[in-house]
Amino acid sequence: MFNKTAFSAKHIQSVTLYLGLLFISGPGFALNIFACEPEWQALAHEIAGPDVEVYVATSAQQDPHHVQPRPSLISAVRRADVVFCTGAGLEAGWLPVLLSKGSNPRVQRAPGLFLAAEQVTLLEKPIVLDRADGDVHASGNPHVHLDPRRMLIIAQALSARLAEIDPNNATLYQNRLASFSQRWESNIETWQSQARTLKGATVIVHHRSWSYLLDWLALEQVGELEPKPGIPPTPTHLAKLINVAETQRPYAIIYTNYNGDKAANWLAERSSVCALALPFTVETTNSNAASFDINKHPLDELFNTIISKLLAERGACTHD
Amino acid sequence: MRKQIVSFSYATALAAIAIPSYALEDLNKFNPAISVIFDGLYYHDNVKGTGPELLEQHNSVLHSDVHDHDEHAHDALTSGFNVRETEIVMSGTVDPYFDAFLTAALSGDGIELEEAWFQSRNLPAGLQLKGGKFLSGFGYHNEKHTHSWDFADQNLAYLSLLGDHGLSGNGLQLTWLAPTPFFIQLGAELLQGEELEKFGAMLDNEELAEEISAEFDPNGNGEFSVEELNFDSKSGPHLSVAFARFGPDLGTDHALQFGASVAHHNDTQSFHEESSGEAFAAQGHANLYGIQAVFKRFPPSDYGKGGYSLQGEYLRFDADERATFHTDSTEIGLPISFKQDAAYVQGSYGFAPRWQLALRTAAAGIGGTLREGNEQTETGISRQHSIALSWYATEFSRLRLQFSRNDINFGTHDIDTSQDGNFNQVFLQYNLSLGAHGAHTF
Repeated sequence: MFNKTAFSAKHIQSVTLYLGLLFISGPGFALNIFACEPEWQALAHEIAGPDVEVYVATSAQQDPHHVQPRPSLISAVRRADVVFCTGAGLEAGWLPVLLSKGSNPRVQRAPGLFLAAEQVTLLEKPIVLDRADGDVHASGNPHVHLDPRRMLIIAQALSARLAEIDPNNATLYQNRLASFSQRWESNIETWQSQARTLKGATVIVHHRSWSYLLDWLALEQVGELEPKPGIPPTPTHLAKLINVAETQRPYAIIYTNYNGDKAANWLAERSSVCALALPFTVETTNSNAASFDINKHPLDELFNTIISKLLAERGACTHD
Repeated sequence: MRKQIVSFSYATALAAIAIPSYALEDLNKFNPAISVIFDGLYYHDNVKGTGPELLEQHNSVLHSDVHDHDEHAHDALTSGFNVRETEIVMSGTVDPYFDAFLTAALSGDGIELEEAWFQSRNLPAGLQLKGGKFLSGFGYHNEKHTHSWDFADQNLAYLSLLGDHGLSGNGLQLTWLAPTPFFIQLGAELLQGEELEKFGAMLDNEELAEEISAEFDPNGNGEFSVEELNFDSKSGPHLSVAFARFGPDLGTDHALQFGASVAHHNDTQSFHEESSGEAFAAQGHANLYGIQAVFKRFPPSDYGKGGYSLQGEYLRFDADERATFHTDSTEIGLPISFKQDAAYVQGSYGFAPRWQLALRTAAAGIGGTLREGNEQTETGISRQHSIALSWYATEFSRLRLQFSRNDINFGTHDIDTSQDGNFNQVFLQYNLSLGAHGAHTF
């Protein structure tokens, strides 16, 4: 009797172990990644490959500050092996709910929780923290993805993190990082040389979401359409910017679709400065990973578009 | 400012004994996230400020409100300026195993614990355990905190069957989230269920005995003891709740959620005064059923413009009790049964950046019947229609103007007969959140 029990226990143990291995590191195993924003979905595919399932929580048409923790996101977090988000308070209104309701201990902390903003130095870290200054982020500006140099550092950290979580595929992540890095470094050189004529130019932005792009290309921001971060443009504030536009002669007024074009156009019509809509992130039409074509390298496409739109702006904007 | 001064003096003291001053700063990072919710309003109605009271007196088979007046008097709005409960909210991670959350409401009457619970962090297989005092997962609106409502007041449907504060209590909740590509959540709760206002109300027996001796004096000597109520007191927990929620994945722009809930209370007590002058106390058990649907379209662009939502819930209440005391002693033991439904539908639309318009219609007393032996009395329907205009200055503050038109059926309630039940209410509300960035649930 005793022997039999001991045998069954051992038997069950080995079966459990076998099943465990099958689920955790079996040959068919692929990581399930939850990306808060489309740029991280694209980067995750670059590093983990096109076959990995990457669920993206938001689209390029949404302001990542304001997203509701909808039920399907809670389910997606539940299934995820890795949650890949920006951090630095960008998702403060929704990611904590997802992590808390997602009932998934794997992703509540590192290594399962990977935050891009924690991998790089941040700009605009406020010295004085005061909500009277609008929606300021205590640890600095979170919109890091528009600096391709920082993107490379994040890619390196991601590859290392994925290898830590899924050691069986470590070589894959290293190899994919190597090819991404090689391509990306040459991209950076190309983009920098294309954009060298922009150096030192000034711009007005809708929201301070472009700081890393401007820092990289050595453009200077001389005004924001938002009177305070997160507060929509007011007539009084825009009227003040007319003066800035006339005296500083900025290169463009930069906004993205989800800001709405009203404020930028209003100012453009009353000054000699052009309103320029730039893509803020890569396009995803839905959250289905299958529709995402990594072979088109959407991140490369994003920077190609931004640079070419910025360059085309020079002299292209004439007012009646 | 004060905090800075304190930190500075500590730092000086610490420096004196050669402990690096950063140690103190690091400790601060372990503090829970704290926020304070300020809520106040200017209230006016065309019934001399009695609107909230009239709403409470709507015709209902749940008559426990007769005895709740004193307890909840501090919540009642008065004509003019009102500062409502100021909430202190604290939350954080206790250790690798638990998160904890606290809401305490400050008012002129002192401090009241609204919620104080822990939640497990690392149970396997999508399980999560919550314990302490918390808002029940019953229904959809029930778990919403007052500051995230689209309206200044509780909807009439909830008011009639769950009370102003909804269903909450001390106990445990276990939820399971399915590992499916769409949202499926199942939950079960076991709650003490001793502080409920409407469904599952338990009466203050001493107070009831006093009232019976004062008003009915069944013994003819002005004395009526608690024992004579014949309530067979059961030990807690009294309330069990189960709920299921389902939500398909509609992509980044839309969300849909359905849900069904059931709650069972094993020791409800009620007291009824009848127009004939008779009165009885009864004890038994009660059930509450709820179904809900919520659809949201998220604002595609700037500052909430273009987003909309639609939500509705239907609630059904039934109870089976037995008269344990009756002014006509031959009727003791008589079976008493109740049933009554309530429903509301509300929608909101972000018509401009930071501006939201919301409409709500609610009904209480639907199909209400009270069966006492062979006798049956029916309740009439009360209705409420509301419109609210909200300005969300930032995520941390909002101002709201709300108008409600009420059509309240009083039945045989003993109230001022000059009131036909039609009255209007106006609310001008502010709601501010100071401190940590609160994340809102769906």
